[in-house]
Amino acid sequence: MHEFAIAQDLINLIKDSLKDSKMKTVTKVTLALSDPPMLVKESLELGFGVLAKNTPCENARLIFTKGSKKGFFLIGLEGEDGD
Amino acid sequence: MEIKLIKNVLEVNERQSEENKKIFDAHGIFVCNIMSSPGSGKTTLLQKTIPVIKERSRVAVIEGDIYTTRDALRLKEFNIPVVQINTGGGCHLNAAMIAEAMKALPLKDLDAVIIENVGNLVCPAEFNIGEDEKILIYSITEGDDKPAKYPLSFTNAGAIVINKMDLAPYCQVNIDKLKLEINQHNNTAPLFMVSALKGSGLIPWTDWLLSKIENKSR
Ligand SMILES: Nc1nc2c(ncn2[C@@H]2O[C@H](COP(=O)(O)OP(=O)(O)O)[C@@H](O)[C@H]2O)c(=O)[nH]1
Ligand SMILES: [Mg+2]
Repeated sequence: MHEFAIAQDLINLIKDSLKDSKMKTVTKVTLALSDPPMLVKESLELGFGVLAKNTPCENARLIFTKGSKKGFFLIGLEGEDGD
Repeated sequence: MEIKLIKNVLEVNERQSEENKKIFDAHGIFVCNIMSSPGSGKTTLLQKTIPVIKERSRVAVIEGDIYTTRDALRLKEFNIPVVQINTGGGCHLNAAMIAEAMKALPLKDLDAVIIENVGNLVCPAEFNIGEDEKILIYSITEGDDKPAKYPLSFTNAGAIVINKMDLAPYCQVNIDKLKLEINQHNNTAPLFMVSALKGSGLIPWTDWLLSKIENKSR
């Protein structure tokens, strides 16, 4: 059950990344996860779904790609501008 | 629109942990992170430790628990600040949770913060939370073969308390083998052999803790 904590960290990281951007709502979050994965994707999605309520990534989809570097990385955000 | 970036998600906890430590350091507060499997005696040890260190230092406790406030209630009689964190399913405390709990603590009036992590011998060891020392409580009822099975908990520990020594006659546990196996994973952490329930063997442990607290607040 690391995944809830990591989902919270991911949300904080996304919020942080939005600070220097015009993006106001996130629709797609692209992630890179090395093999063997150190987390269970389904658990992360579950945690993200709960914890993202009332944040800019409330309705975002998580896309997992296979990363070559060891660890878990946020590599892309798609979304809409504010005004 | 699209943003491309490469950010290590796991570094978020590490950065928050450093932030927490900076704040604790600025206040001269010694922080220990107590880890063990469920039921090894973390709370019992706290119940025996707090009255002793309270005599010489100002201590607060952060209690980590998945759902309940039971452990925090067991510490109520000591009249010290106790902050409860419920992880709601999470298997360990993380640095962001501690940052939140710190807001409820009178940092200016403290010398030590003891954090009881969620009972779990695996995950807590992987997440720094801003502590000076990780302390592993290991009950001899868990057997003499676990250091090799849960190496990180042993390797990362700054001190190891072997608890429930009063039960040694009733368990098939070879204490010498246990010590040897611990030594293979960590030969620097002091080992304290205690029975928290009976209150025996506690003086070397509380002396060690007090010296850590006093060194930091100086
Ligand atoms: N015999 C014996 N029992 C102990 C000792 N320390 C704790 N216990 C018992 O172990 C159980 C779990 O203890 P607790 O402090 O709640 O463990 P925690 O889950 O690690 O906080 C309780 O029933 C305690 O009374 C000890 O030194 N000897
Ligand atoms: Mg407890």
